[in-house]
Amino acid sequence: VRRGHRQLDNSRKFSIDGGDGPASLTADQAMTAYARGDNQVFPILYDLVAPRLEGYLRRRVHDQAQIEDLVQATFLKMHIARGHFIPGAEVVPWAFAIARGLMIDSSRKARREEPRDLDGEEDACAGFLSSSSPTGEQVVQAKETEARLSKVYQTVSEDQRQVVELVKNKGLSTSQAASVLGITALAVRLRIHRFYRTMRGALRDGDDFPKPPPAAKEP
Amino acid sequence: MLSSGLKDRVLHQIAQQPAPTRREVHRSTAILFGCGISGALVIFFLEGGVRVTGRPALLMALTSLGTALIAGVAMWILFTRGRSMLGRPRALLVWAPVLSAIGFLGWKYGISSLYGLTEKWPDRVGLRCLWLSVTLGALPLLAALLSWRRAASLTPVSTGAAFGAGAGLGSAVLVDLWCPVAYVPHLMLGHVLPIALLAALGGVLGTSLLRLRRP
Repeated sequence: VRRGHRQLDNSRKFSIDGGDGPASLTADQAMTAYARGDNQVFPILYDLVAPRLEGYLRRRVHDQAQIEDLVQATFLKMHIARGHFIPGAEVVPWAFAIARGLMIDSSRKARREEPRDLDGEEDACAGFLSSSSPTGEQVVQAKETEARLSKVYQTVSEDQRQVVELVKNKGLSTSQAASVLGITALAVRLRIHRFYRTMRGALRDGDDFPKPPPAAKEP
Repeated sequence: MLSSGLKDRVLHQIAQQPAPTRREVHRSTAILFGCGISGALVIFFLEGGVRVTGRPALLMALTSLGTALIAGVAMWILFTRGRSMLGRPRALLVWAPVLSAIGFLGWKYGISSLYGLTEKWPDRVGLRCLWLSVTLGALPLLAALLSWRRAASLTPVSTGAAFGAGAGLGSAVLVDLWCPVAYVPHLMLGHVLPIALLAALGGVLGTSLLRLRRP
């Protein structure tokens, strides 16, 4: 299981001419230019943000049409609110937070729970596995470990999975993830800690899958 | 994988819906705040404006400068988002007005006690100050909420409440120039309670005006 925090990769660039020259932009720079009124950069902004937004939504929403609907709605909100964008601010956590807010609004309207995407969760779990080995025995062992962790991953709470996905898969900092989820940074760290404790327990105990730790009061 | 037609749909949709740029938002925000603050000042002066009522000039200057400084810092925290589009931490939005109100109360009472002007005024319970504070603060609060209604606010309740508390602190500075009473129960009812009331009003209005809705 990979540990430690990864910086949000905002250095991904896009260039109109396909090169990496001065015309290339990061998502933050593209949004800053778009907020100033440069409409030409919106397609660039879309290309930089849409795939990450899709990845974020795919963990929660089963239906492809609904994902696309949410991506479209998120970009529309970003477009309408562009005049309020702070130059130099990070656009991806903002886009995630808008998408999350729209999802909540959708679920309120629909009055039903969104189906969980188990395939996506398995993919996400596989992302935490670092065991790979050239020998057959190690490959088998790694697969067993992956299967064990996948099962345990599905026993941890949705809250913990959301936090781990944002911090470990999407590369958000704890404070950014806290803002996206509307909780404190301390709560984010606690959830990550509990997630790792559960995963470590699964590795230590072999086939005896540990039960998720009791939910303690979070700040 | 997103479908290839989605990008075209998004581009088509945003082309149909013009959105203000930063400069246009700044302009409209300035106009809205200008109207809100002007309206509050008109009401303030219609109610009598600055009233000395036997207070020494130095006392008035000290209390006004102190409360303006406290309110100014808190309003900067409450009305702005810093450098993140995710807004300020919720704990800061809660503690800034609470500590400001305590500081405000302590400053006014402390300075007035040096002049022996903290006794009870039987005919001034604090209801007039309460009414004036809420009225003065409501206009800038409305201006702030209207200027933010298209800002895709992620925390509508706390944003609205922060605006309300900020507007309440601003109105408390004006009311301090108007009211000579430094009796603690009066200050609590007429000067501090309006901050909480405006914060609650801002939270309620924020829910309806700022909530992120699917188009």
